[in-house]
This record gives sequence, C-alpha cells and structure tokens, in this order.
Amino acid sequence: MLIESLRLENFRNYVQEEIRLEPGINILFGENGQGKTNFLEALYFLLTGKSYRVQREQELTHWGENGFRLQGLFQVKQRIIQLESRYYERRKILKINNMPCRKLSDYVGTVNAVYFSPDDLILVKGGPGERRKFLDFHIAQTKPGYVSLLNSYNKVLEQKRALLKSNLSLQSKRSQLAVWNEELIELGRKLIKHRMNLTEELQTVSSYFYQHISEGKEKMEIHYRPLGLKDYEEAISSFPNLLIEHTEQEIERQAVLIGPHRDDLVIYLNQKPARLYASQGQVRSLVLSLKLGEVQLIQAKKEEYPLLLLDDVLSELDRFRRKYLLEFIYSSSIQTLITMTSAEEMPEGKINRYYVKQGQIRREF
Amino acid sequence: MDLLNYPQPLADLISSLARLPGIGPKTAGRLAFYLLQEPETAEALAQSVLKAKEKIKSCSICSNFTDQDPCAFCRSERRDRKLLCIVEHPRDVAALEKTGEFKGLYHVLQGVLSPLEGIGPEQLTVQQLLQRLEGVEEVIMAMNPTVEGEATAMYLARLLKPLGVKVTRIAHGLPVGGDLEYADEVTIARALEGRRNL
Ligand SMILES: Nc1ncnc2c1ncn2[C@@H]1O[C@H](COP(=O)(O)OP(=O)(O)OP(=O)(O)O)[C@@H](O)[C@H]1O
Ligand SMILES: [Mg+2]
Ligand SMILES: [Zn+2]
Repeated sequence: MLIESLRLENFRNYVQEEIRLEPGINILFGENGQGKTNFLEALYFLLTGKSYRVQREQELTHWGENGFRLQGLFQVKQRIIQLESRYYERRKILKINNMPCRKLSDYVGTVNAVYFSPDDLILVKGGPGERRKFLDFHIAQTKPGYVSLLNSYNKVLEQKRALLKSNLSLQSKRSQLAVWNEELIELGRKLIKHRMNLTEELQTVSSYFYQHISEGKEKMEIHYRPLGLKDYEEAISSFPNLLIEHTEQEIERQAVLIGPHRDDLVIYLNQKPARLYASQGQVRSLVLSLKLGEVQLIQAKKEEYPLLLLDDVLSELDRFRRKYLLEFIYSSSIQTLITMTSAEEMPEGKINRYYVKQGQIRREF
Repeated sequence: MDLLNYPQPLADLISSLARLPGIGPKTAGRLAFYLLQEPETAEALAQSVLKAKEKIKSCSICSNFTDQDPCAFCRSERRDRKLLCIVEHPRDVAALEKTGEFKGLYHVLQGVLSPLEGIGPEQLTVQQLLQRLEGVEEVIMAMNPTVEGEATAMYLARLLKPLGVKVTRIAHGLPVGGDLEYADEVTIARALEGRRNL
C-alpha cells in the first residue's frame, strides 16, 4: 500500500497543506511542537476514522474553526483509492472514492497502517486496557464486522452497568440481568474468539522477530487470557456459569465483573511476565516485535504491506535495534513515514526529507 | 444559521422545525421560508398537525395509533388472531403492513428495554400484552436488531414461553443496528419468512 498525497484542512495546527509522499522512507523533521505528530495523526485518522490520541474530534479541529477535512490519494493493489474524512458540525463524514460510507466498518481497513510511537512502550508495562486496545485496533483494521461487534458489546456493557446501578427491586434486576447476560455471552464469545485468533497469529510472527532482535538469546511469548482463564474452550463453556456465580457480587459492587472487557494479553519474556521483569531495552524490543508482527500479519491478510508510521521511534532505539528495523523496512520496501527532531540522526540510503515548521511542510531536495 | 438575524416568530418556526428528527438547521430554514411563501400550504399543515394531535390516540388493546378505540386492526374480522407481531413503535406497524405479507395482529411496545434511559418492562406495554394472549398461538418478535431490541425479545420470550405460546424472532436480513422503518419491503418480507424460534 502506498500513500501518494495528503491534504489537510484545519486539522490541529495545519490550516491548509498538501504534500506528495514517495515510496520508501519519508522523513518529517523539525523542532518540537511544529506538527510532525499531528501529520501522522491526520493520516491515521484518515485511514481509521479515529484518533489514537483523543476521543473527541473537536480537539483535532484547528482552534477557532468548526471542522476539518482530510483527503488522501492511495495505491492499493495497483488501484488508486481516494479517502476523505470530514468533520463538520459535530458530524463525521467518511468517503471512499467520493462515495459516503454509512458505517465506520465499511470504511476502516481500506488502507492499512501501523503506528508506532514511544507511547506504545506502555503496552508492556501498562494495564490490560492498553493491550486490549492494541488487539482491538488491529482486528478492526482487518475484520470488517469487528467495529460493530465491539460497539454492540460495549453497548450491552453500558446497559448492564446502568441496570446494576439502578434502584430497581432485586427481583426485577435479576429478571432483566438474565437477558443482558445472554447477550453479553453471545457477543463476548465472538470477541474472545477474534482476540485469541489474533494472539495466536501474532505469537508466531512476533516471537520470530524478537528472537532475531535479541540475537537468539531470548524468547518472547504472548498469551491471551479469556475471562482470566488459560484455555479457550474452558472460557467459552464456563462463561454462563461464571456470570451466575458472580451475580451477587455484581449487584453488590454495581459493576460488570465477568467478560472480555476485563481480559488481558500476557507477554512473557523467557517464561516470566514481562510486565514485572522486563528491562527498558527489553521492553523496546518487545514492542518493536509486536509492531513488526502487526505489519507482517497485515501483509499476510492483504497481500500488501501496510504503511508504517514511526513517531520519534528511531531516537528511542539503540543502534542495533535501529539497524534491524531499517533493514526490515528496506528489504520489504515498506513505505514508511518517520518523524525526528534533528536532521543528523537520519538514516543512510535513499530517503525523502520534509521539513515541518508551524503547520507547514516543505520538501527538501 | 444565526437566528438573531430573523424576526422572532420566524426564528421560533425555524427552531421548532429543527427539533424534528432528521431535520438540521439548514433544512429547517428552507422549510420555514417555503411555508411563509405558500400561505395555503402553511395553513393546511397547521390544521392537520392540530387535528392529528387531537384525534389520534393509542389503541387500548395494541397501543397502535388510532382515531377509534379499538383500532381497525384489533376490530377487523379478517386478521388472523392466532398470530401476534410485536413491534417497537407505531411506525413499524406501517412498515410491516406495506409488505402485505403479514395477516395477524400487532402489539406496539412503545419502546425497548433500556436501563440507561430508565426504561424497564413497566414503561412498556408488557402488561397489556400478557392480557391479550388468549387464542394466540405464535408471537413474532419484530423488534429492531439493536442490542436493546434483542434484549427485549429475549425478555419477552422468557415471559411468554412458560405460558405455552410459540415465540419466534424475525430473521435479520436486516442490517445489524438497522431500523425496520428504513428497510425496504422485500427485506422485511424475507425477514418475516425466515423467522426462527426463540
Ligand atoms: N486543535 C489545535 N489547533 C491548533 N494547534 C494545535 C491543536 N492541537 C495541537 N496544536 C498545536 O500543535 C503543536 C503540536 O504539534 P505536534 O504534536 O505535531 O508536534 P511535533 O512536531 O510532533 O513535536 P515533538 O517533536 O515535540 O513531538 C503544538 O504547538 C500545539 O499547540
Ligand atoms: Mg511529536
Ligand atoms: Zn389495536
């Protein structure tokens, strides 16, 4: 997949900008706070209809304006695709080749990207929510129905929470809980299945990358823990019973205690939980392996490499990891956008350079 | 649109129109200007809005909109009284009638279960439903395929099945999250045909 050009209108600190990008490595450099991250965020929003940084589109709108528009030209399997995301009067309009999409799931995943920034280091040391989000974002890009499955599941959760918090009698709470639980199980099982499938695939590719990055010295493994259990079949079959067993507790604590919204993806390093024991360097290698795993999985599914967006990542990696990453990018000819603050760190080889200053971008030859 | 630029009565008309579902401020403005330029249309519209509001009530049996109680469906001799179709809103009755496929009676719930909005079985016409089951052999759940619609269908199924009624759910050729109202007739007809047991 390739991006040929991107046009931004009133997005973050960009008022009006349009640039052409090239295959291979594109470097965006400039001082702090000039709009490098904003540019990658714009591209990511254009592909997914969402920002990974904020929930509310208003924050993405250039101060004082009432909406933004992003347009991009892409190449997927030799075909030109135009994407447009527009936010205006609190509404989002998403178009593929000028045709409006009714559902987010019709739009997401047309063009894929993997985004990697130092914030992702939290994947290893942070809470389970970060890791679930990582899995969900990836599945949403590759499985068209996943966004609505996830939305439905979350809606059921919200309704069940509201029921638990209501001041209805115990009896009517119980009789209504039964039906929300039934939906929770049906949708939850599908969610678990998707996440476990992805984990298995990711396990194979990411552990391969990790082994190479650690020069064969260390071993990485990842395991999804459905409902806190080890085994898929067990989780699927015991889901209803777990809910029944926890009903009293759920009513008492007014919280939904059982379900994949509490699951974790456990990362192991040499058989020990990485969250507890991994060093800073190991954390970097683990996250890099997960991200490269994502890249490889998208390639396997879509038969083309996704765009790779590396925000401030190169300066975070030591020489060896950096070299490994760049070699992977070059050898697979992945179109990559890299941000950095100083021009000195630029990798060797054929690169295209863009200077970013105050929401304006200038190509440097 | 800046309503301050308009005389008060015009501004009021625009903001009333903009409160209607599916009508944004721009369309509301266009409609308001149109009405002012076509006094007869405006007069007729105003009359029919008032009249409809005065004459239309809920049927005491099925809760559908009607000008006579019981409504034409509930009074009809030609409808199949063994079949009862449960829908969320009166507008869903209209959508199902358009298919011409369904010959039974209707029951309008006036909504779906939604703890978030404080809507439980007591806020819906569940009691009325339980009182009219005599002679009914099959109850068809035709709620919209939203999570709330599904939950309501399951809730009612649990209530009705012990009473010996067959409960079915219309098959969703309908898009998930879609409304019955917006589905075309062929889709609804197919959904009716392919209903499954609950
Ligand atoms: N909605 C907005 N409207 C206008 N400007 C904004 C908006 N949101 C953020 N900004 C500005 O954008 C700038 C941040 O841009 P960005 O995060 O892209 O910086 P950067 O070039 O990646 O810097 P760094 O090298 O520090 O990461 C800040 O100056 C911020 O004030
Ligand atoms: Mg930045
Ligand atoms: Zn009636």
